Amino acid sequence: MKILNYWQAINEAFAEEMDRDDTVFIIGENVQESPFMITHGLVERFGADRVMDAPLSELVNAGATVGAACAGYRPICDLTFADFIYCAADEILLKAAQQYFAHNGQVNAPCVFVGVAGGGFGTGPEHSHVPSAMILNNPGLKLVLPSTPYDAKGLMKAAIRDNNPVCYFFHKKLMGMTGEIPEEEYVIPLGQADIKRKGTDVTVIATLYMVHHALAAAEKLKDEISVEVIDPRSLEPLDIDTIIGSVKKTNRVVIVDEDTERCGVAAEIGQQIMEQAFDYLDAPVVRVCAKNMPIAGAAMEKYTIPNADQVISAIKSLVY
Amino acid sequence: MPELTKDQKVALYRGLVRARKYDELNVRMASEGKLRTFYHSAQGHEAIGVGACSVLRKDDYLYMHIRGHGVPYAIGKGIDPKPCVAEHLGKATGWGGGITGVHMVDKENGVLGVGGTIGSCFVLSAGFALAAKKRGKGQVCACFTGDGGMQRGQAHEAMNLAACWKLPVVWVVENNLMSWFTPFCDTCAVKDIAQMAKAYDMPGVIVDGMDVFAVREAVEKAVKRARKGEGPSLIECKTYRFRPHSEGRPDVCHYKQRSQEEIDKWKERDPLKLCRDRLLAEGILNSDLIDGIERESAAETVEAEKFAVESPYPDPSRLHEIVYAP
Amino acid sequence: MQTRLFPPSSHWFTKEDISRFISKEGALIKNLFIPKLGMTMEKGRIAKWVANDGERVQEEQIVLILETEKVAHEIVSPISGILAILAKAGDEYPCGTVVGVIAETEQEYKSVKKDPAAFAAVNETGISSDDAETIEKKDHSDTASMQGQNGTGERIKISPLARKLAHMHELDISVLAGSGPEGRIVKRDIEQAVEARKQKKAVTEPASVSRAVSVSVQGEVCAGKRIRAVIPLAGMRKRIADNLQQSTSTTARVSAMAEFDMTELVKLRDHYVSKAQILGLKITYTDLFIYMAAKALKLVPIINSSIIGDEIKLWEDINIGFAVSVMKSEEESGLLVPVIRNADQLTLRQISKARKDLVDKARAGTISLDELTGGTFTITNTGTFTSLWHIQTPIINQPEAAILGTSSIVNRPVVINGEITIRPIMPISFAFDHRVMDGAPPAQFIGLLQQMIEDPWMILM
Repeated sequence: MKILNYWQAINEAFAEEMDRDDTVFIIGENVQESPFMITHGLVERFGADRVMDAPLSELVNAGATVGAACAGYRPICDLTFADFIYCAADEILLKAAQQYFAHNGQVNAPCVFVGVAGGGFGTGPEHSHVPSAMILNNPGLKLVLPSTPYDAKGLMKAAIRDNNPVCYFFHKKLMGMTGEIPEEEYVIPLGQADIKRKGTDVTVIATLYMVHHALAAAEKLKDEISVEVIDPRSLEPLDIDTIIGSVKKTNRVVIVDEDTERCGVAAEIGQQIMEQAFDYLDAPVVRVCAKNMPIAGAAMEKYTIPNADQVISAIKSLVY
Repeated sequence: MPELTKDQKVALYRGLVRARKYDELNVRMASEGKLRTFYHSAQGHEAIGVGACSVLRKDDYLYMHIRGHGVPYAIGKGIDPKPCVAEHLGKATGWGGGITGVHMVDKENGVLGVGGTIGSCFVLSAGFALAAKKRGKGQVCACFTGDGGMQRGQAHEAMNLAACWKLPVVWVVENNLMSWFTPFCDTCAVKDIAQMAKAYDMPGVIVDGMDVFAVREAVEKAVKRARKGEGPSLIECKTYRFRPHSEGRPDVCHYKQRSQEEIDKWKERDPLKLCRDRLLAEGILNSDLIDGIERESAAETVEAEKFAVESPYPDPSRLHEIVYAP
Repeated sequence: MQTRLFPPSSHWFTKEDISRFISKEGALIKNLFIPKLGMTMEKGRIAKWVANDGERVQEEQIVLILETEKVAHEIVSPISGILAILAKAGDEYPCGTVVGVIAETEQEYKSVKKDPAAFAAVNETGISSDDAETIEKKDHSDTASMQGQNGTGERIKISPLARKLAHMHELDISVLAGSGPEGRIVKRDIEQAVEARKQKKAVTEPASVSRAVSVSVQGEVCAGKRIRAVIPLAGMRKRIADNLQQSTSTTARVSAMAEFDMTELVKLRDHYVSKAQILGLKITYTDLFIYMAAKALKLVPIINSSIIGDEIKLWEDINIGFAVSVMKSEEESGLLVPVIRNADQLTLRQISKARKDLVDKARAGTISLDELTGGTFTITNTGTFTSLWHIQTPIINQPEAAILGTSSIVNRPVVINGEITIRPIMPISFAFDHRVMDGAPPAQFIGLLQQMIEDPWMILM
C-alpha cells in the first residue's frame, strides 16, 4: 500500500492507462501544467501529442473528442470546470450521448469528459456546479463521482476503458485528501456502490464530497443512531440493488447530493426507492441538496450548498 | 492535375444522373407522405457531392451535408445509396438501422456518423482529422456543410484548431445563398465565405459549384495538401437549390416567394446539363449512352424503392441494446 | 303469581295485557296495530278491512288496507288464526293502536271478543321500530371499522412498512394509535401491538396493554369533540367486542322476559346465609341459579346445545358459565366468563365453592384458559350493579344456544288473588337462539325455573 492524495490518484490512473493503451490521449485547456493538478507532469512522460494543450474552445475540444473517439481513439477531454459541460452542451449531451444510439450501434464514442466540480471555496454560480442531473437526463452518457483517492483512481481507469462517453466529476474540496492506494493495479467497475459505513437505523446515500458530510454526521450521532452511509460512486450505471438492500434493513433514507434539489439526483434515487421498496419505508425519503437557486459565492455560498448539520437534522427528523 | 480518363468522366456524369434520380424519388415519396422524417432536396447541388467525393480514398473520413441526405456524397465515394431510401422509410435495412430515419453511417467506408445540428460537422470532423493525423496513415476528412453552418461558433473554433494544428481536413461549404428562408447576404458579415479562411491563415477557394469538374479539381488539390500534412482548406462552392429548403416548406426568401426568374436562371446551369453538354462536346457521351445511363439510373431507384418498401422495421427491443455500448 | 312471557315484538306491553296473551296451553295471539311506517308518521286510517271478523286467515294474508298521508299500505296477518276486528274502518288511529287481533284458537278468539275494549286500548308506549333501527345503527357504527378509516371516518396515517406489517399480523389498523409525526402509525406501533396481543392471549389481563397514546392526544379535538382519554381497542376489550359482535350477527337472538316472585327463594337463601359458618361459605343467588339452571337444562336438553356447521349438537355435559366483571379503571372494564363444569353433578355447596374460587382467580388474573372455556350455557347477573328494577337483553355467549340474565330483586306491587300486595320480584331475560329452538323450550325452561323459585321444595325434584 502507498499513500496518495486525491489528485495524485487520478494522475496515476491517467498515466497507467496511457501507458497501457496508445489510443488514450488527453486534450483540453492547460492540461500540460493542469491548474487542478490531475494531468500535471504527464506531458513529460507522454509528450505533447498525447497531452494536448488546446484552444479556449469547449466546442471543438469536446467535439473533436467525440470525433476522435468515433475514429478509433480514446480521448480524455479536460473541461477544467464541470460547469463547462453547458458550454459544450451540443457536443456532450447531443453528440456524445447519442452517437451510438443514433447510428444503430455501428460507431461508438469511447471518451471521458473530466471537470472539477462542487462548491466550498466560494467560486460562485458558474464554477461550483455538480451537473449530475444534466448528465443523467441524457441517457447514453455515464457518470462517475469519486469521493476518495482509492475510488478516484479505480473509477478513472474504468472510465477510460469504458466504450461509452463517461463524465467524471471530481471535487475541489477533496483535492488534498489522502488515502491508501494498493501497489498492484486495480479497477473499480462502474455500477458498484460502496458502503462507506455500516449501520442499522438510517440509510444515508451520499455523492462526492457529501459522502464526507454523511460520515461526519454518522460519527456525531453514533451514540444515538446507527447510520449506514452508501456511496453509489457511479450514478449511471447506478447500483440500486445495494441501496434497496440497505433500505430494506433500515426503513429510513436520507439522500445527500450537491446538485440542485429540483429534478436532481436525490429526486431520482428517492423515486426509485419508493418504487422498489415502498413497503419497507417507515418514513418518507428525505433529501438534502443544493437549494433551488444559482449557487451563491463568497460568504453566501454556505446558504446554497448542503452542510453536515443539515444532514444531521435530516437523519434526526426520521428517527422518531 | 492529371487529366481525367474517359471512364472517370462518364462515371462523374452517371453519378450526377443517379444522384438526381434518387433525389426525385425522395421528393416524390415525401409528397406521397411515405417518408418517416423530412427531406432536404439536393437538386442543383449534385456536382459538389459527386465531384468532391470522387477524389476520396476508401479509408478517408466523410462527413456528409444534409442536402440529399447523403446520396450525392455516397455516390461520389462509391457507397451504395440504397440504404438511404430504406432509412427514410424507417426500415431496419436503412444505413442508420431505421433508428432515427435520417442518420447516415457506414463505418467501413469512413462515414462515422452525422449530427443533427448544423455546424456540429465542423467540430466532429476536426476530431476525425485529429485521429487521422495521429494514426499517420495519410487519411483525410472531407466535411460538407452549407452557408448556414459557417455562421455557427463550432465552425470557427474548429477552423482555428484545425489550421493551428494542421489537421487533415477539407471544409467544403455549399453556398446556395439561402438558409431555410433567410438569404445569406442578410446574415453573413462577408460576401464570400472563402474570405473567412484568411482569419485562420488557411487557403480559401471559390469554386463554381455547378461544375462537377471544377469541384473535383479544387477538392483534389485540398485533399493532397491535407494528406501532405499541410493543414486544412476552405472551399466555397457557389451553388443553388432548385427546390425549397426541405420538402413541404414554402419556398420563400424572408417571407416572399423566391424569385422564379432567379430559379430559372440557375436551372440553365443545372449541373447535369453542364456536364452532359461538355461531355457531348468532347465526344465522350452520345445519346445512346445518355439514354442507357438514364434507364439504368431509373431502374436503380425503382429497385431501391422496392427494397425499402419490402424491408422490415427494426425490432423495438433493439432500442434498449444501443443506449450504451457493451 | 303467574309467569309473564313477553312475545317477541318491539312493543312494550303492560303486565295485565300479557296475562291475557298466554293461554294455559301456551298458544299465542298476535296484535294487529297501526304500524309507524315512516319517521314522520303519527297516525293512519283504516281504509278497509279485507278479511272479515271471525274469519280464519293465513299468515301473510292481507287483512287490512291502511291509509297514510302519502299512500295506502296493505297490512298482512302475522300468523295464521282467527281475525278479531277491534277497530272500525274509516277511523283514524295513532301509530301503535291495536286495531285487531289474530287468535290462534277459537278459545282465544272468544276471550278477545268478550273484552275487546281492553285490547283496543293498548297503545304503543315503548320504542318504535324506527327508534330501534336508529339505535341498532348507532351500535353498528360504533363497532364497525372501515378499511382506511378510523372510528371518526378520518384517513389513517400509516407508513408503508407499518401497513405491511399490520397486514402480516392481521392487525386492524383502524384501532391503533400512531406515535409517529401527526399521529402516523409506524413500525414501532405495530410491533408493540403484536407484542401486547401475544401476552394477553393465554391469560386474562395482559401485563401491559399497548397504550400507544401520546400525551398530546388528551384535550385534542377530534370530530368536533374534545378527547378525554384514548383506550386502544385492543387486548381483552377487543376480544370481547369481537365475540359480542359475532354472536349478534350470527344468532337469531330472541329475548324472552319474565318475572319471578322471589319470596320463597329469598327465604331459602337467607336460610343458607345463616348457615354460612357450618357450610363454610356464603351461598349467593347466582349459586342457586346455576344449580337450578343445571337441573332445568337436564329436562330441556335442546337449550344445552351448539350449532356447529350444519348440525345442532346437544351436549351431554352441562357446563355453566357465569359472567364476572373485571374493572380495570374508571374507563376500562373487562368481562370474563369462568365455567363450572358438569354443574348438574355438583351440590349447591360445590357450585358455590367453585364459583367463588373462579371469581377470585378471575379478579386476580390467575385464571387459566381451561377455566374459561367449554361452557354450554351462561348466566349473567346485572343485579349487582344496581338495585333498580331493570331488564337486560343479554347477548348469547357463542357457541352456546341461550343465556339467562338475572337482575335485582325489587319489591313490587303484584296482584294475588285479586288483591294488591308487595313481593320481591326479579325480572329475568332469557335470550335464546331461535335457529336452534322455537318458543316452547324457552317457555318450558322458564316454567321450570319458576316452579323451583316459587316452590324451592321442587328443587329436590
